[in-house]
Amino acid sequence: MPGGIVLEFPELYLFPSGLWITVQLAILSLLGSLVLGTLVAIFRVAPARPLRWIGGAYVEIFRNTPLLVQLFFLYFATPYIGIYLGTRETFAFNAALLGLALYHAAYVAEVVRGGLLGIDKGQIEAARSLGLSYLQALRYIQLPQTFRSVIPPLGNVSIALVKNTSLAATIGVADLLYAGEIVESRTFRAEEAFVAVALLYLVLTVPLGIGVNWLERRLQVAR
Amino acid sequence: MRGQLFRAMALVLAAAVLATACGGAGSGGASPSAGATKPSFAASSYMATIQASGKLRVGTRDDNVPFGLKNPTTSKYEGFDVDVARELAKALFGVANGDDVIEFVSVVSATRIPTLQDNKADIVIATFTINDDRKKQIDFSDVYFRTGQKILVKKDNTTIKDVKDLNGRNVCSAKGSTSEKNITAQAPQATLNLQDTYAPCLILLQQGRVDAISTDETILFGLVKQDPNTKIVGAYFSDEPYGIGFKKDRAGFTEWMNGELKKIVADGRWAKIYKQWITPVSGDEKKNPEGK
Amino acid sequence: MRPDTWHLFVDPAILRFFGEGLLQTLLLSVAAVGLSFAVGLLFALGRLSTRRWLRWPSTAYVESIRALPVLLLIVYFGIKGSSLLRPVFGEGFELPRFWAGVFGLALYTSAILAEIIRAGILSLPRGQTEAARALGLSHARSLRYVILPQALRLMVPAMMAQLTTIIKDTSLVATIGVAELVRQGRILYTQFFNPIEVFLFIGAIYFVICFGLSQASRRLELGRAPKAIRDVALRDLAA
Repeated sequence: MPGGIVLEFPELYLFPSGLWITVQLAILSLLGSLVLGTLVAIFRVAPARPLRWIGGAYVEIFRNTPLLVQLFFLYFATPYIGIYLGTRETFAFNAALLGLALYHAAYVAEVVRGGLLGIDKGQIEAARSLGLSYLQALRYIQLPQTFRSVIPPLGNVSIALVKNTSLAATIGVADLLYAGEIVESRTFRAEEAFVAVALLYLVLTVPLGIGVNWLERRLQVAR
Repeated sequence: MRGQLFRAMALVLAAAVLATACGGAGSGGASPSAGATKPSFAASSYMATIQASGKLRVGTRDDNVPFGLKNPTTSKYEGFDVDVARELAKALFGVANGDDVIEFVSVVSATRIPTLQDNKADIVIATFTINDDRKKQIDFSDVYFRTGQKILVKKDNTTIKDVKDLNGRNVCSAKGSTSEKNITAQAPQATLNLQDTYAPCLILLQQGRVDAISTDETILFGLVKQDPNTKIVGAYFSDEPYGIGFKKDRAGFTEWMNGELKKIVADGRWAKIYKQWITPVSGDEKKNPEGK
Repeated sequence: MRPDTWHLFVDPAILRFFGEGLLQTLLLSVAAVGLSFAVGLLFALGRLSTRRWLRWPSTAYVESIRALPVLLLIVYFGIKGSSLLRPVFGEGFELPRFWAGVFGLALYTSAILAEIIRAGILSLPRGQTEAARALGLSHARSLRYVILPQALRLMVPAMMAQLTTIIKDTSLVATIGVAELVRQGRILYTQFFNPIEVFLFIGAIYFVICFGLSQASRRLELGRAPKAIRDVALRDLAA
C-alpha cells in the first residue's frame, strides 16, 4: 500500500541522514574544486609553458575519464600504493570528497580560464606598466573581474556537482541514493523509495537552478 | 543537410536495434540437438513455456567462487550452482549439453528477486537463502544446499572468535543480503561496510580496512580459495538453506523442479558436483544437502 | 601494486574479455544517443510550442529530469524497468539489463538535449522565422526546412561533447550488472587483486576514446557552440 511505507519501516531514518551526508559532500567538494580549479586555471594561463602543459594535462585527464572509475580507484586502489585516505569510518567519505573535488576542479578550471582570458589585455599591460608583478596583477586586476563573469557558469557546475554526489553511493558512502537503495532492499518498494529520493534531490537542485538563473540575469556582463 | 541528418538518425536507431541482437545479455545459441528424448509437458505448465522459448534463463552470480563465476579467460560460467542449473536444463530439454539451452543472466545479491519478478530469468540459482520474507515475493524449490553463516578473518587474527566479537568492529557484507541482516541482529554494535558483492570485501579485508567478512560459509570458502591467508572462525550463527528461486504462479514448476532435484541427489550427480566444487575448499565430501 | 599482473593485459583472452566490455560500452552509447536525440527533439519542440497544453508538461518533464542524478534513473530502471513496460508489452515481459541502462541514460540525456536544441533554436536570429513565415511556410514547415537545420548545425560541437559524457556515463550501468568495460574490470581485479593496473588500463581506454572524440571535433573545425548552449551543457555534465 503506497503511503504505508511511512509508518511501517524503521529504515526511514536513513533518508534524513543520507540527505545530510549528501549536503556535506556537496558543499565540501565544491569548495575543494573551486580552490583547486582556480589553481589549475592559473597554471593554464601562466607564461611558462611547462605550467601550462601541466594544467592542460590535468584538465584533459580528469575530464576524459569517468568519475566512477576515479572514485573506485581512490577507494579500492590507493591503499595498494600506501595511501590511506582516512580511518575506517571516514575512508569512503574522504575518497568520495577527494574524487568529486578533483573531477569538478577540471571543469572549474576551464570556466575560470575562460573568464581570465576574457579580460581585456590592455588592463594587464597597464597593470604591469604600473609596476605590479605578474602575481599582483593576477590578484588585484584579473581575478576580481573574472569573478563576476564566472559566477553563473560556476553555478551550473555546482548543480552538476550536487547530482554527481550520488556516485558516492557506489563506494559505500551512506548518502541519499544509498539510503534509497537500502530502503528498497529492505522493503521491496522501489517506487516509493526512489520517488522519495528523487524528490529530495529536486529539493536540492531546483532552488540552486532558480538561483543560478537569477544570478545570470543580475550579473549580465556587458561584453 | 537536413536529409542527411535524418538519414543518419535513422541509421543510428537501426544500428542500435540491430546491435541488441548481438549486444544484449546472453549469447545466441543453436536450438537443442534434435533426436535426444525431449520430455513433454502439459501445455499449460511453465516447463512447456520454457521449452517453447528454446532456452532456460538462469540467473546466477559471475564472481562468486565456487558457486557461480565467470571465467575471464573463457568467458564461460562455472561453479556448483551453474552445474546444478545445467542438470536442470538438460532434464528440461532432453539434451546432453546444458550450455546449448541455457542463457545466463548475471545477478548480484540485491537483484536476485527483481530479476525474477521482472521476468528477466526463469530461475535464479545464486546461493539464495530461503526465508519467509522472500517467500512472500517469490517461490523456492526444495533445499539443494545447506550451510550457515560464519566469519572470515585474516589468518593471524586472534581477537574475533565468534559473532559476538564482531561488536565494535568493522564487518563487510553484501548490500541487500540476509547475511547483513543477521549480523545486525546478532551483533548490533558491529559497524557494517556494505558492498555489492563479496569480492570487494576481500580486498578491504586484505587492506585491513575491515576486520572481518561475514556471510554463508560456502561463500567464505571461495574467498579462502582466493586468499589462503585467511581463515574461517566461529560457529554457524544462522541456518542457510539454499533454494532455487523462481517467480510465483509458474504452473507445475515447483513439482517438476523438486522431482528433478531428488533425482540429481539420488543418482549421485549432486555428490559429484559437490566433490568437484566444494570439496577443494571445504575438505569434506557430502552425498546430499543434509550431509548425511 | 601488482606489477606481476601486467602480463595479463597482453593476453589475448583477457583482451577479448575487455573487448566484450568495450563493445557493450559503445553499443550502450550509440543506443542512448539515438533514443535521447529523438525524444529530446520532441520535448524541445514541445517546450517551444505556443500551445500551453504542450508547453507546460514538456517544461515540467525537462526541468525535473535535468535536476535528477542520472545514476538514480539508471538504478530505478534496473530494478523496475520491466514492470513499467508490462502494460505496453504484456504480462511476462522482461526488459534486458542492457536496455534498462539505455533507458536510464536516454531519459536523462533527452532532457539535456531538449535544452540544447531549444537553446540552439532560440539563438537563431528572429529574422529567420519571420522570413520563413513571410514566404508562406507553415509553422511546421519553417521548422523543418529553415530553423532546425541551422539550429542542429550550431549544436554539433555540443552534441560531440554530450557524446563524450554519455560514453563516460555508461560506466554507471555497471552498477546494475551490465557487462560493460568497468564491470569486466571489476571481475578481473577481484580475482587477481590488481585494481591499480586494471583501473589504469580502463582509464586509458576511456581517455583515448573521449580525448580522441574531442580532438576529432576540433580538427573537423566544427567550431564552438554558442555560449547559451555551452552553459546548458555545463549544468548537466554528469559523471
